[in-house]
Amino acid sequence: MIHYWRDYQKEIAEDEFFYVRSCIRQNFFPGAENLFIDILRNKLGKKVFEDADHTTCTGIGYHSDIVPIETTMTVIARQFALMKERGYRNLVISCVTSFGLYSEILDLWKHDPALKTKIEGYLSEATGRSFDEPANMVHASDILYKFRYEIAEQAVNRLVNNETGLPLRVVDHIGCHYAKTFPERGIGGSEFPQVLTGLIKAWGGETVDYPERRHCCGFGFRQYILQSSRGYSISHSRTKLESMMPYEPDLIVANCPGCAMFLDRWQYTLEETDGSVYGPGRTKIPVVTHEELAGLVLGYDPWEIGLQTHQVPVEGLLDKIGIRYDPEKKYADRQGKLIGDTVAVTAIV
Amino acid sequence: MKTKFGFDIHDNRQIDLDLEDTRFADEVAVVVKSWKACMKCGACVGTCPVGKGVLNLTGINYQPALTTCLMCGKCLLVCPRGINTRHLILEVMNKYREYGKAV
Amino acid sequence: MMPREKPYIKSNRQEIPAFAGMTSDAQPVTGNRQPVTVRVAVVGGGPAGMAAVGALAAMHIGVDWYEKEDRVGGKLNNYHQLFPDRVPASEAFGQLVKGTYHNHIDRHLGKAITSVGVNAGRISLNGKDHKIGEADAVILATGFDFFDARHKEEFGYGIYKHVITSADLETVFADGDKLLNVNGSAPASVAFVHCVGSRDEQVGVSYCSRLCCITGIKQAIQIRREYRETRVYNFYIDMRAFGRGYEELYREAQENHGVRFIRGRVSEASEDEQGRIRVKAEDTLMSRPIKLTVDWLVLLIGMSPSCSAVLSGKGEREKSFTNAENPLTGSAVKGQPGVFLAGCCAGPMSIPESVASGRSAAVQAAEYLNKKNGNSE
Ligand SMILES: Cc1cc2nc3c(=O)[nH]c(=O)nc-3n(C[C@H](O)[C@H](O)[C@H](O)COP(=O)(O)OP(=O)(O)OC[C@H]3O[C@@H](n4cnc5c(N)ncnc54)[C@H](O)[C@@H]3O)c2cc1C
Ligand code: SF4
Ligand code: SF4
Ligand code: SF4
Repeated sequence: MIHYWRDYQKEIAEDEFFYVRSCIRQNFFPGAENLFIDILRNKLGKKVFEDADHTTCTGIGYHSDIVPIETTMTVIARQFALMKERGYRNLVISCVTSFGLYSEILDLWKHDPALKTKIEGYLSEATGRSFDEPANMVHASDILYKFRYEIAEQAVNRLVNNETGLPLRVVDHIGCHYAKTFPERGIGGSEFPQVLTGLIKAWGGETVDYPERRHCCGFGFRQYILQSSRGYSISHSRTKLESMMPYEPDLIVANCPGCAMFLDRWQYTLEETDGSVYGPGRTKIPVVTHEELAGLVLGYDPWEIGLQTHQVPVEGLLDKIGIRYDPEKKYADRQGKLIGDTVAVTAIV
Repeated sequence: MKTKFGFDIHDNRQIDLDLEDTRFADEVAVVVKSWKACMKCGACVGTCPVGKGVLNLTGINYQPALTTCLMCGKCLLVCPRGINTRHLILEVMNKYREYGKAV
Repeated sequence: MMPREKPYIKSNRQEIPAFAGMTSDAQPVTGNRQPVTVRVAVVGGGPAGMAAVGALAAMHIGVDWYEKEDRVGGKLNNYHQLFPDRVPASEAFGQLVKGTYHNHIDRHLGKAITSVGVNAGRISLNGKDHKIGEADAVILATGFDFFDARHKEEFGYGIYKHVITSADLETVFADGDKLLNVNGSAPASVAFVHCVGSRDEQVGVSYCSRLCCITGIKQAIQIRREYRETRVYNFYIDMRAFGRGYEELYREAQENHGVRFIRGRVSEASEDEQGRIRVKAEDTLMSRPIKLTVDWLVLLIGMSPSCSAVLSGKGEREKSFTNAENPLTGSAVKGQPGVFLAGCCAGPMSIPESVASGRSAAVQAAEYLNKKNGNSE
């Protein structure tokens, strides 16, 4: 069966989610995952379970040729086992790298059942556990897509410029491993992905389809891990930023923690290196994740959800939408004590 | 500004055809019309005693072919499109002089 | 084919005389109506079907000719000029249709045949839910379908206004429309993508559609003739200009019309902020990636088989063309005695090849009937 983009839809479970976190999302955007769980539990009334025994999926090690695939498979089999033990069947994955890897492993097992049997053996030998494949497996952004209109109903803010009344111009960036390896597992496929544009449109914004929309953010695992190779990574981010620049986007939203990280941090690095900035009026373009975008729409406090950890300041965006915030509290900890100041760090070597 | 981060930002190898300047090639083709019929088969380069040959003339870099050509005429014999490659090489050289470029 | 929106195309459509009065009484009917004992059904009114009915009638065989549209001519009706000699399509149509006004030929327009059933030497022709007719032998000349370019998502057909197919472009030329850029003036550049929906595992098509290379050459020249300043690029994987006069036309495109042929497959197209189309490819002969912005991107779409649906009766299209029982020597369909293939439903063919194939099928049907009725020497 040949598909084209409109045909790419997938089944997304209604409720009872087993949520697996992302190692890097927790570090780069420490508020994002709690926010996601909070939205699911308290705004949408869903049952979500997080297991304290859950570990890394080894994705970055795997993609950097450090972790052999059998090890990765056994680790992932263990996550499935945890889900089974807790009585869940619907897996929600926070990280796009993990989502791609889980999908790839299920596909490998489908084509080579003997491999699956081998991994079952390893898991049982090492931990005494057994597992079932998930009945439904999606990325966290798929869940927000599914419930985008429910979120819109509860919206406190809309993606609209407060002053002009015009929709915000939003660039969506989809992590490569969300749909490029398995287009049929991503909403809208890989060439015209709909998962984030669906959110943007439902919440009042306008999407920008710029020429390098499908280009990799530049993370590239190996390219980033070695300092000397980071030039490859940043060059790709630059290609994207240059291409979106004429559209004067108000913000970038990405569903992959790596993408959000690099599109955000590299803007700082590019400015430091040669003075280039890519947003309208010589500003940098704020970057948020899908959870953070939902959080802003639902009226969460920007500093509660961790937007102060972004490199590109988000205040301009908050002002545009008309979200109130206390500038004094930006770097305050939970007790209200200041833990940093607002002066930018000048050099990182 | 100009902070050093320990790595360089690369320009990619992409040819930007939007910026391509074909004036030189077009002028040569006025004299040696068949030049445009080249299909980059490579026969001329394959046979060229100095291994440079005419194919380079159809690409972006004219220099290597011109500086080493012996005017032996072998490429003329093999070109399946019957391009007068010797005439072409001479014409490119003339044009180079006209443009004040060293050959 | 997608319904065509033509926001930037200015129409000058004139009625093309040869198309105008092509009703059944447009030409004098020739041939004596002799009593005929056998009847052959021909399904499809394209070039192959037109050639087949004419040849059958000339052999004094009665013909029932079925065409699902309300006029015959097939794809020819929407073409402009034909390669390699630039004969107007209307002229070719006129030549072909002449032979079909014959006393032995009964036209049944607006009749789609969805299945054929072979039963004790008689063949029934069926529509969706009823029998339409019967015959002693059947020639299937249902032609081809244009590949649905939306399946090659990376080119954005059906999404970006300035991405069109070669079939769309033929109608633009045939209708006398203009191919203007977003500002309403002559296009600065146009690119063609070869092998769209052919030779591509991504869409499950293994074969070469054979005629798209030469169609690309023909259309590139046409653009250069209409717009002298427009830069034209053809991105090919292999250049396959196989027929009489084709290679010569290829050279003419390069030498006289300055068309640039670049070896490399376009792998991505996207719209820029002005609505022009940005393409990415590699010049594989230079080993360097290319970026190019064009006013129009034309996809040279391949041919998809059509008659498998009729033969299976299930309406399902196969991925490959139906093989004749003995493709070296004829086009009889395996397991269905009395059924023959003609034209592009047997594989990608040019018009002269389709015509030859239609005539050949007519002769095969006649031989079959002779043999069946014990008339063979
Ligand atoms: C873009 C393009 C440009 C081309 N330009 C040229 C050119 O310049 N020169 C050239 O030589 N060739 C050209 N060709 C090739 C040419 O189109 C074919 O050779 C020709 O159309 C084949 O004729 P046909 O009769 O086999 O099929 P078709 O032309 O496809 O005709 C088939 C007919 O059968 C009818 N039909 C289909 N199914 C049924 C059914 N179930 N029941 C009843 N009727 C049915 C259809 O309505 C149609 O009228 C071009 C092809 C393409 C794709
Ligand atoms: S004439 Fe020059 S380019 Fe041609 S084969 Fe001889 S040396 Fe090479
Ligand atoms: S032999 Fe002729 S056609 Fe072939 S590359 Fe050389 S100049 Fe071009
Ligand atoms: S004829 Fe040319 S464009 Fe068409 S499928 Fe064959 S190689 Fe590709």
